[in-house]
Amino acid sequence: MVNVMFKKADMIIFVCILAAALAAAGIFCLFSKQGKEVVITVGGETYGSYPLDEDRSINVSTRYGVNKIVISDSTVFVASADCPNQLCVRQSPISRCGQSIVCLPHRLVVAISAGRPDVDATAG
Amino acid sequence: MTFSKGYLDMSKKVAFTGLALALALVLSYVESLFSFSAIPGIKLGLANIAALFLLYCFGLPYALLVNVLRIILANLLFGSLTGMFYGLTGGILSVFVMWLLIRTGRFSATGLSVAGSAAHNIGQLCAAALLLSSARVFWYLPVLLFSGAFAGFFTGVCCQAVLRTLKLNTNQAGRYVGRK
Repeated sequence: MVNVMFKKADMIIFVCILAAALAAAGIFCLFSKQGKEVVITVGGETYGSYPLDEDRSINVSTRYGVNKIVISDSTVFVASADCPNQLCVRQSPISRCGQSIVCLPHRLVVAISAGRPDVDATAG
Repeated sequence: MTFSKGYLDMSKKVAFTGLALALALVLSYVESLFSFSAIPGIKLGLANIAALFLLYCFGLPYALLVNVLRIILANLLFGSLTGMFYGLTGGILSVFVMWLLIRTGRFSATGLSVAGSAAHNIGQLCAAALLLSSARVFWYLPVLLFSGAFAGFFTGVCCQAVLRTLKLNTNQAGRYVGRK
């Protein structure tokens, strides 16, 4: 049992997981389109939503901490944050529907949504 | 530590479990030193080698204990409380999945590790979705599953190499039954 490094069943499970990952990625890509609105939520509650086509920077200051979010050229990124791991700052800019940047220590999610064209996008 | 007898008494088991926990903590620390900065959340899961090895040697309770203690201690020492929550959800789920698969007797450590890494990532994302009250984190699933499969393969081969070097003879349920 321990003399081989891997068995046939191991390769099957390996290939299955790779296939599942690719399938999930394919499905996500298929349904993603250029977004219209940036929605910022903190701890599950909406902090605010902003149009993606207007350049601006937003300082999200909550009891968890401060994140500076920048909308520029129809993409969104976190410019700076006082969270310990800085993972949100290192993420590349997002612009497509369903994409998101998450800052776990600050419970912050920056997400792109399709938005509703008839409603004023600025709220909260 | 010798594996010369067909069974181990309780004190040896406890001592060896303690050693495995220490080793798992060191592996966690080594892993925390180098991070793949481009995509957050991707890691090798080296400490899983210790849990998987214990699963082979002593069974579910010991592997679960070491994994849970390792995640708590590692996050207290060089992690965060939120990290501990995600790690615990993923870690417990992954040990249970590996335990279920080991019982089928069809897989080597490599397959168990690959499946365990997928379970870990899914568990972690479920915890994150719960904590953030947002299902958007599942967008991350393809990336994590893909990288996790390769990382799991690597750590699984490492564990398999250890088992082979020690010439442990395991029965159908994966329990250590004696030295070949």
